[in-house]
Amino acid sequence: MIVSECSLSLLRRQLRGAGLCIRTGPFVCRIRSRLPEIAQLLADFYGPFPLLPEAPFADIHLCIRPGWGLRRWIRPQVICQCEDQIPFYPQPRRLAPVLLEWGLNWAVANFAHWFLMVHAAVAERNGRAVILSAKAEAGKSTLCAALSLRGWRVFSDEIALIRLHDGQLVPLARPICLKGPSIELIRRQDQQGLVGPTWPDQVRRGIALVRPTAASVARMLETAPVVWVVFPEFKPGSATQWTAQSKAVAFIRLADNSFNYSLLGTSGFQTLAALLDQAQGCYKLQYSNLEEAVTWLEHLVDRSAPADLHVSSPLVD
Amino acid sequence: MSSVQGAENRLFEVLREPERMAGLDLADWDLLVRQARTARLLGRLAAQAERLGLLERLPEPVRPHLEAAARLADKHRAVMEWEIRQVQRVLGPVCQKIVLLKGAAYVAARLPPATGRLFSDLDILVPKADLTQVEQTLLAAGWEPLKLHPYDQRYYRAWMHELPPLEHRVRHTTLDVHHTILPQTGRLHPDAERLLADAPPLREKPLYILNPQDMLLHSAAHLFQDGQIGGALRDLVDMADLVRHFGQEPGFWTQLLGRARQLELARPLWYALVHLGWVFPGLVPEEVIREARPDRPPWPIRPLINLLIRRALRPELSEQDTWLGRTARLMLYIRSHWLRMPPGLLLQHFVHKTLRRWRGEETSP
Repeated sequence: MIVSECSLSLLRRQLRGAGLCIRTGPFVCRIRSRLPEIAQLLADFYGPFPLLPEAPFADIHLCIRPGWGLRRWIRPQVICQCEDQIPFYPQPRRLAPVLLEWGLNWAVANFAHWFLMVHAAVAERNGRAVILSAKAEAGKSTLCAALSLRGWRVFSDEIALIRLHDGQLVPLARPICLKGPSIELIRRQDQQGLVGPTWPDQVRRGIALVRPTAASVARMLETAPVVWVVFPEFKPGSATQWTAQSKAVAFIRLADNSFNYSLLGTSGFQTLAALLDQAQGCYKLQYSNLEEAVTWLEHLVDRSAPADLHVSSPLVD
Repeated sequence: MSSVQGAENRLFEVLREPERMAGLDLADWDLLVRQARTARLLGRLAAQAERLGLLERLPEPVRPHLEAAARLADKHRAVMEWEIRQVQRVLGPVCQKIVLLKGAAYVAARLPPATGRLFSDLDILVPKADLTQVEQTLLAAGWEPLKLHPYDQRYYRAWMHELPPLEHRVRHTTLDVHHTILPQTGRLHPDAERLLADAPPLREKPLYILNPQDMLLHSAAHLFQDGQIGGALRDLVDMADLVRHFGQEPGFWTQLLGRARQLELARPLWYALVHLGWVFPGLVPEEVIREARPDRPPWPIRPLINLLIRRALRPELSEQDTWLGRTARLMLYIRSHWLRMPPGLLLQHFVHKTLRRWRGEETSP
């Protein structure tokens, strides 16, 4: 059974009771909440995900609960609790969906040390995956959303899950979280209605979630080998420029962007080495035009070479 | 499915008899993994499952969680070993005696509690006379005070048993430098000179650990007098390991009580023995508990505090939490402060902290 086949009242009952279990990639998540909008949110953004009503064991336990004391009613807030920890500050209630996403990511990054985890987006086309690794604000999620609209299978916009030892990429298949002006940019290209409503937020100038495509979810247990490693950097006003990076440099950058490279010790090193051994090459990509960057990535994956775009020039390091 | 009552006993059960992990089903593990992780004991379960050759027999979805916990514990141990070496390197030339406390001692002396354990900071005990020199040396070598507020600085220096905690600028590890083991303003005053004088050396100069009795007494004082009740079950498990390990040595039990009285720690020891006996039946010899009876607290304090401690030891997840559990923790928290400072000072401290919280400043001690 999938989430969208289930009535809202049944979803709500499960959320209130022992919890509602869904599978996202390799993880079984049990979500509990007394807030009615969480059921709506799951129906809306997690429609094609498998529902596991009888799952005896969950990897991730998350509870979205109302704010403390008066903040339950006055300028209401929500709190995300993962097992016995509260990793984030309370958020305005309208951001409950975003808090759920943060919570799930936090739980994966903190507990799932049977993967090497890198701060990166991963997307795949024709069985060939690209890692887009960068720290915050480099445009990972935006690129990922644009690729998703063009039929790529998105593994994650936030955490690259790399299987230990063989370096295969494992899908997480979850909604993508967009912020600020990139929301409208993506919405303009969105013909399938994947982009959800924009929730006002002062700090991030609006937040929206992009639903994963049905194919991303249906194939979420299918891993893929990495073909290219790209370090994107969104730089306003710049031309689409790229430069090749040695695997040694890419290794250091991926390790630096990793959540648990040092924790995994030797197996972290071996896994990252295995991953880069499989990769055809690594690039640094600077862009301001999303369309061009996406075209460049498609060219890279389809033809196994960086595009010779007329507007582009190699980036001088 | 597991009831709250049954599940609560399940963590106790597998702590007592790790072999029982083999018989648990997925629903049991669903709760046990969370309880153990919250109590910071999942790495220990993983190490025991590994040692008993159980890992392969556990349900498949559970294994990666235990393996991840084991990896995390390995990392913690590696960090701890590294920090000990750094402290040894930096303080070696200026300090005759550096006594490693708690987790650091377990790691350096390869004692059973180190297995699968997580560590939050490195605690050392140095002679009070060396304190200034030690602090200056550490500051020069890359450690920085974590608490910069003048009140906090004074709080530690005038009243506590340690310097304000230090954090390494690059590695972000915390180092607590103690000159004794309980707050100076507290009710009990274990003689740090005795602790230092009787500490056995490690091979790595000038590192020492506390002697077996003192190690247990320090753990008991930390848990039952200084009231760090948050990680109560893990601390009790440390003590159980120590007792199992050192209890075999001739003279351990016979010297324990005398030493406790000498160090003014007989009361916390009594609490420790009773609760060790509660969670791990048969671990503490009956006659030892009997001999410790003169030091137990009077009625009605005794049953009340025991009830609260039992509550706090139970591995409850917040979703199963009751007002009783919350009240117990709150009362133990109040008790720990009551034991820490005389009433006048406590009031002054409370007023100061409240004012700072109102102003939105960060506070923690």
